[in-house]
Amino acid sequence: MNAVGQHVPRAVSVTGGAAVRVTRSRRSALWPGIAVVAIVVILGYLPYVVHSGTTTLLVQFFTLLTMASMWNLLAGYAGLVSVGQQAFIGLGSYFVLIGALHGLDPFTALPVAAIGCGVVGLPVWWLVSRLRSGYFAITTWVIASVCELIIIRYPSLGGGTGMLLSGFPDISQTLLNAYIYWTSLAVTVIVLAGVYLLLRSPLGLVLTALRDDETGARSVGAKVARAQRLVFIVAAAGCGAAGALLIISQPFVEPTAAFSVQWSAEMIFVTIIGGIGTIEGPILGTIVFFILQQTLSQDGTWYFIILGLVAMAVAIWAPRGLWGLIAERTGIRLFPVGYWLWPAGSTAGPRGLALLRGRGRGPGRSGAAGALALDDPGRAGPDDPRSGPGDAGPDDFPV
Amino acid sequence: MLRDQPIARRSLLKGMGAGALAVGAGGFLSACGSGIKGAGSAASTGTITIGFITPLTGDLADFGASDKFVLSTVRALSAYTKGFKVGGKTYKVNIVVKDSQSSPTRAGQVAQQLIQTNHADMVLTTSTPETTNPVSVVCEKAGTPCLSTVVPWESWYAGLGGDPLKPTTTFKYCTMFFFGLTQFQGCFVPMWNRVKNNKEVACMYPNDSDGTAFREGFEPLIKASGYKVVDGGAYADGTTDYTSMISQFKSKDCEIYSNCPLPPDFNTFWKQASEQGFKPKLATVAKVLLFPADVAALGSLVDNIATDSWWGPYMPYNSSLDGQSASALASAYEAKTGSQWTQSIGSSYALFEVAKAAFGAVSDPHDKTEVASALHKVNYTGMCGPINFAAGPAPGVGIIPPVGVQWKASTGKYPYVMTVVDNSLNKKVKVQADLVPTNA
Repeated sequence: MNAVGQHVPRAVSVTGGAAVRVTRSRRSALWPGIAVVAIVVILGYLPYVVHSGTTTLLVQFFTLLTMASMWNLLAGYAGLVSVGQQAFIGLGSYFVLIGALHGLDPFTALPVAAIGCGVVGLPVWWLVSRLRSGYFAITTWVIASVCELIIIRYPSLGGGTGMLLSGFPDISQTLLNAYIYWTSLAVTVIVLAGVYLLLRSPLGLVLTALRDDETGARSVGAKVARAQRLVFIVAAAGCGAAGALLIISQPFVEPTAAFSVQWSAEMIFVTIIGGIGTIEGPILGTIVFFILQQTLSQDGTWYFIILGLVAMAVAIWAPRGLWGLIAERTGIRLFPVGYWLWPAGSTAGPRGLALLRGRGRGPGRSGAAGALALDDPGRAGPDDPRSGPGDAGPDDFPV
Repeated sequence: MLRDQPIARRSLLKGMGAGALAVGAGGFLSACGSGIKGAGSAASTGTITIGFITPLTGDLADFGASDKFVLSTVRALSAYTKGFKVGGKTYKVNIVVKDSQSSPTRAGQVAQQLIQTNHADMVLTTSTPETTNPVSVVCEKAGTPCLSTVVPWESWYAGLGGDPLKPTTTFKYCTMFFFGLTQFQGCFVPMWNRVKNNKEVACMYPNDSDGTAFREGFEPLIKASGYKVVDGGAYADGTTDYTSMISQFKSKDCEIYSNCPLPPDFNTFWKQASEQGFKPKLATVAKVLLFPADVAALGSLVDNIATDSWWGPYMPYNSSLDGQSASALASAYEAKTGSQWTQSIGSSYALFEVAKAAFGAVSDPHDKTEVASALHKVNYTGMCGPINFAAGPAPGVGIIPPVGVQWKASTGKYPYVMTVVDNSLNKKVKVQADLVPTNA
């Protein structure tokens, strides 16, 4: 495991033959990587250490984090600003309910529900794929409402009244709570690992290019439509898993709550606060949201006013979110998905990196902004193995 | 080139390793469940914790608007400041309030928090099935005594998985007091009978908990009372255009109007009905126009709309905690907040009376089974009159009979005042004014 984020220096010849070295992050990601693994292991042991009050809260945390990571993938990378992800959250809940009504254990029904939502995501994508920005957003919302209206037509699923989820294994409440917690942890780890791997894959190059400039990405031949379709289906499945977690932890589903646009509002808030277009952003955003919720939610209306002010403040003064601020100052990447280029001759290892911190020393731009700008669009075209022969060649590498 | 196969393969393996480790750790741990800590308990503490979940913000905020006042009143009463005497020992009482934000999901989440983090010995909740049902479901599952109010008992009973038509299921931990469809019938039908009409009832019941309960339970009662039902269809909450429903009601020439919508939906409907010329002789609404805030939004359109009232300054009842009368409590609210009294004051107040009565009947307040069983047996008289949980239409359900009221324009401090016009179900309440048709 300690190989996570290890430096991968290599020499590359670009633009006039100047050699650069390439690493996955500015500093060694070894220690952050170990920390991430350690955190996951500690979280796994929590039910033995803390009372279920804490783990139940963490279930809510993981559920929101899963949703936010999916929205971040959609909006932050694929440029698909959806306000209709609650369609899949609701469907995920109801798929678990339907499974339970047919004798399926809710925990077994969870992956089935997630896959089911991914399957539903495909025809939905055909409906919305040609729409852009505002039209896309509104249509996704409409589709979520349509899903809700369809569900409430079925009295066997509780109609508008909602329904209790039954069929849990016959185990003690304590063990059941722990199972729910581990399930939510597993879903979150799988979702985050999935996003991380997706972004480090060839497809990730297309996505990061898309994030920075869709037109640019198209012009260098990136297969934008295919990437967006895959992301939409993955996000549908991820939100379906989150919806399944919701009904399992409640254990009650009510259509107006399950398909509430509130979910989209929370996903967007968390992602914007934390930092859109980074894997770390939704994690930090969810932490901030939960701290605010736990400390302020008793203040009624003031809680919402403060949430609004926080969102505005971040949007104005830290448009790249809190993680953007941290990454800019420290260069830390918990999930390094980009590449850093170093001038030839700088020695390997983190110590040499200080050379590049000063303004103007980096290739093109300075600081982390420079890194983000250079790691992504520069790689999209030439490095995508699926790129056609007409793609930009190494000579166009914009470093 | 920048990308070559070893990187991809290595990073794939790394990521997969991380995922597998986490999942594997979970699976390994679940195999030895004996060491799990669980919720912990407050068994040894000298404090009784009462959780209270109410919608303080969101669409249902009008229901919870008076709860801050009720809480500060109850917390200041000596019955609560001096603690409860249970089994020869005095326990301090700690009331923890949580806002449901008018969301069923949030209501369920805060209920879990109250039980697991605050170690609540009892959870009280109020205001519509959207709040009470998820809270009750969580409490029943976790084995924590729970008391609900301001929800038709059929909606609550069905939400917990019972069948209101065959109410034989006993929920071990959950109880509620309010009224149900029979009481709506007993409250509304006498008023209909007093207005000369063609016996056609326009029914606007949405597709949600209350709407379904009304459609399945109230429509048969309407028919049994000698009226004809014109059902406008199970519309979705939040519908903004009621033209087809209104024209259906107009084509049948309905002279009575009955509903149970969300408050904003009624505002939309009633304005459109007025514009499109649907003017029933008598409108008896449920779930809406319960509070002065709803009335302000409709202005003169609320004149002489009738509804049910479970509490008001006209109720001849006194607090079981300190003997304060209903009218004194309503006046205290108006003096303290500067707002008009609302019905929720009485029902929320009664929650804390019942809680005290239940804890007074047990030997150990932290024994949840004992407290729950005491809740099912409470039989007392207080702010909402006599409540007997053992004598209701279903196990654990106490009934408080409502009276028929109309909103009437007033020259006093507040433009519209809820005025008693029919006391068929509760003769102890004095009729204050004549029943006047909504549209003559």
